[in-house]
Amino acid sequence: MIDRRYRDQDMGTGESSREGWRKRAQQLAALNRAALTIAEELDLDSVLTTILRTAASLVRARYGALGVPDGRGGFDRFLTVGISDTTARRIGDLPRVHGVLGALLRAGQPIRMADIRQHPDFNWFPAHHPVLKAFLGVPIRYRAETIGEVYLSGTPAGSFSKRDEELVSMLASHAGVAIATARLYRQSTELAVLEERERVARELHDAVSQTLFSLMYEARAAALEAGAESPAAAAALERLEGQASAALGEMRGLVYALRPKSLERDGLAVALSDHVEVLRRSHGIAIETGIQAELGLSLDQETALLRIAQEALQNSLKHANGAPIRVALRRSRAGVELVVADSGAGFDIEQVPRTVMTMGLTTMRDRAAAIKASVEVNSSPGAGTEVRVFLPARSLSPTAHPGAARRGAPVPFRPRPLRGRGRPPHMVGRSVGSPGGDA
Amino acid sequence: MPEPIRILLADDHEVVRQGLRRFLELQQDIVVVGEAGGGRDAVRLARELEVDVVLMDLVMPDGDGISAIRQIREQTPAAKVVVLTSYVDDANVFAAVQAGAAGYLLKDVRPEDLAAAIRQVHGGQAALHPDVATRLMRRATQPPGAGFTPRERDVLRLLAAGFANKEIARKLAISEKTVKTHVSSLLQKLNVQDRTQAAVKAVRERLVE
Repeated sequence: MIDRRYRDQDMGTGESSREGWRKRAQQLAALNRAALTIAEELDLDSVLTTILRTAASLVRARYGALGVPDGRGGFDRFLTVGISDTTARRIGDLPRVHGVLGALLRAGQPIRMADIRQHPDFNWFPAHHPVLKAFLGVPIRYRAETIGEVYLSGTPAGSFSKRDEELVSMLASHAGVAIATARLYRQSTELAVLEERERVARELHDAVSQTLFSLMYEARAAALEAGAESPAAAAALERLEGQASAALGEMRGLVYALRPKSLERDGLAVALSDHVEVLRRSHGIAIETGIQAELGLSLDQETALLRIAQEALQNSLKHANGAPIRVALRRSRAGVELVVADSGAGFDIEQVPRTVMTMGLTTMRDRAAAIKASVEVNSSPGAGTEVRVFLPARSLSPTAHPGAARRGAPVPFRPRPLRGRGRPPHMVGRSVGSPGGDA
Repeated sequence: MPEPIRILLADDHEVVRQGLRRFLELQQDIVVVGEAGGGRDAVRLARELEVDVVLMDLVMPDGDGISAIRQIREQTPAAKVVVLTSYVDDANVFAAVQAGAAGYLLKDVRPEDLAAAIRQVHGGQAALHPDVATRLMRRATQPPGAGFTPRERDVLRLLAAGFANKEIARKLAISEKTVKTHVSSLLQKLNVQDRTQAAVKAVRERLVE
């Protein structure tokens, strides 16, 4: 079926039929190899890099880019080929999801044009951006969702053919599955820890708390029955009731400590500590933390810092080969500083090609710029890698986001000694037992 | 002596019903007339047994507590409902009070306090855990819309301007699914049933420009 299409559209262009068939067979073989490589690759960044490079080489495009939208109008990932680091730096900010890139995302259909500037949604090229004419944009879809886009430009043929579009579309359909798999793989080990924690919390709650609650009532009833006849027994039963009540309070705290954390409700310090804890357990790696609460940040700033920290931690986990990692978040008079450092192999910043590592860095810089913070990456072979984000005091918002004021310090749950009779601690406004309300 | 208060226990944990029954039976003025392991049974038994007060868990496999409260209030208005649960969050508290619960206690309430709460509710008063009372107060005094996230404000503004989810998603460059999540969170925070009511409330209370 595909064969017929190729013959109809492309075989009559002067090439000998035999030559055309040979070329197409080569392309399909290359596509097949790429699809297999991509499918085997579990690291998300490597998957994206391979997809982009393969797409560009399949259709002999000079420029190529691959974007993974973040669902908030920007790109979570944006890779390019054919554009040097210097040029990329001159262009500056990562593109946003508007114009033709946005149109492609919404339509979910390939866009192929001899001159991109003729597209109704075309706005302009940013300064220093190469001027593109021939354009081929293909969405990467998984199930019903567009999870990325590949754009290609600059072809020796002057414009891309229908066959080019089909080849890249075929690649994109493999890419969708591969990206989804890589994402799941990345999440799966961390998810396992979270799921286990949730299961423990549920069981503690269902089995232990309910039983303790009942025990408290049974003990009280028995104490009433023993009453005057046996004061010693009554006293013992009352103590039992008190202990059941106190244990119930402890259990509430424990279940509360185990619940999934949210940045909006719990704030950056808690969310970051929790993320580190999950990584520690799922990767079995030593991560030292010094995380300060009450930083007085807005929700946008907290969100950006958390994402940067996650990105940096992900990089460290990947490149530090099990060497310890250190995370620090602190506020001084000058501002708020986030440091993620590892004692791994490190790398020579000048030598890194614009691929995986720089891609992560670009994303971090973009996020930092959005909250007027600076990012510094220090690394050299043998000396580990350090990512340092600094948010100067003048960029801090006068008012922290609403949830922040009500939150306490990110105290991990620590069992306190059981108390005797008396009101359970949360009745007098304990922060651990009562969630800080909806944000 | 006045008639004892007739109690129905609705909780899916048998051990909980057992402990509650043991203690409450020792109270002179209280009698446990029935037990239900789910919301559906609770509604039926409240009707059949001339119950005065139902102690109701919220999360049960067979018929959830909130809809059971609503049905009991409709079918057996004389029966008062006291929620007795492990969960204290705004969504549950507001839903239960709206459904007609007269009390909201947590499953760590001391036995004597529970007995006192039952008498209080039977006498026509409310009985609330301090934490629950605080939440209700905060809700009543909070300026409308104070708890919105910036993104929810964006969605509310577009929703009030009459845009459909699909268009809102397009304008904000987020997925339709995300818009739906924001909308349902807005409905809950605004305490309304549908988007039309949300739009009306947003405009009337000047939550959007």
